[in-house]
Amino acid sequence: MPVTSRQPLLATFVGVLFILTGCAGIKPQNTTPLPASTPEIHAQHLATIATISAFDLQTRIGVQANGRGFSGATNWKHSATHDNIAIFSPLGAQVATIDKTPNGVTLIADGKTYYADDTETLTQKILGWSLPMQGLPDWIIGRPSPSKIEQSAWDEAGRLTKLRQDGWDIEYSQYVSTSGYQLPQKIALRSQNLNLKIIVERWLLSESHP
Amino acid sequence: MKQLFIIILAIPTLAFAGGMDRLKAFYQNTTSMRANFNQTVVDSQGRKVQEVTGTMQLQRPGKFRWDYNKPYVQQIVGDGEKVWLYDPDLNQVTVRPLSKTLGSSPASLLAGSKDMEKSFTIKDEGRQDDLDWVQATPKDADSGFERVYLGFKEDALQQMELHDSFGHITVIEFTKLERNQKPNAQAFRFTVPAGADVVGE
Repeated sequence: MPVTSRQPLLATFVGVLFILTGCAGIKPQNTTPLPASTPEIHAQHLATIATISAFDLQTRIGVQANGRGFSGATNWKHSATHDNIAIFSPLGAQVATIDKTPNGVTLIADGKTYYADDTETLTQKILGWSLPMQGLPDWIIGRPSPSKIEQSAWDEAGRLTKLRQDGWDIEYSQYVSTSGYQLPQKIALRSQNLNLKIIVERWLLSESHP
Repeated sequence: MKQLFIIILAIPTLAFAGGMDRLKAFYQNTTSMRANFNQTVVDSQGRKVQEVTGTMQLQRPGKFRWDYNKPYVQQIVGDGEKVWLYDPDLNQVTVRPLSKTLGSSPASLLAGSKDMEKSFTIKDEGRQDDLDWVQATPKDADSGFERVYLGFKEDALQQMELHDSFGHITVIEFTKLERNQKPNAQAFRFTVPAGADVVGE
């Protein structure tokens, strides 16, 4: 019998200290390229977003690898120690879930559970494309990861527009203002074998108190 | 099967027809359909994770078009041979042969022919909320959905429910239904927009 239960939204997010926003409406920003930033301005921007300790975001993604591809949606919950990513088909069916903890990574798809030490290996093996989880939690909020920066460009508001790191070329074409932060809304990531386009539908942030 | 059809046709004044009969009548009598739809996805804890609206059109066999309008634009077009999925924001077109999607995608399922029993196991689910329900279970385990429910009012499809293996439920409600109106043939033709990336799945 078809049953659709609707319960109140529960804050299940582990480690949430302070929920800054509900479903904040995303307002598209001007995408015109801006003059280069000064190091002071982008340091200031990075200092502001450094207070983001956790996020819960809904995205649409487009994946292209060797002429094959996938488009769909994701729901990604990130905290300092834990990542949970659910991947959905365009019609809403969940196709996979990825759970990353300090102990390793689990991927569930087609009713089977797979384990590995890192997400890159596991997604490459099971989904056929490698999700760059080493850098993505930093890249998604618009900052370089701790590894070596090969190239970067910033706009006059101090926001990243281009970044080259870990064999990835990352381009930020649109930012959105949410809860006082300037956060990426459209990101394109390219590696030798993979194109990954991400559109953020909704940001939900948690902030750590200094 | 044939006998069942004869029995149904022979008793047109049947006071109560179950979901199975509604489904058969739907596949027999609805050659084309247009409707607005509202699609809601709830997760295993009952939280609403997605709500989208749009319009759909279908013409048997194998032609359909779903236009998602809100909160973002997305098109799924079945031209009879291929199924095209276009996301303008991602600037990406994903294309698959129709034959590979018939057993899995609900859009393809509705546009299929009456031998849907090749791809689905059909079961009567009785009456609820004034609708007659059938359960369709895909025979292909990789279809993405574990069970699909179709709710009919008379011969008209009013609601679909799709259950995936993660406990998510996609509910699609149809409104402003029109049946067997001559559809615009252009609607089922997909032209790749200039500059869009095209990928196979």
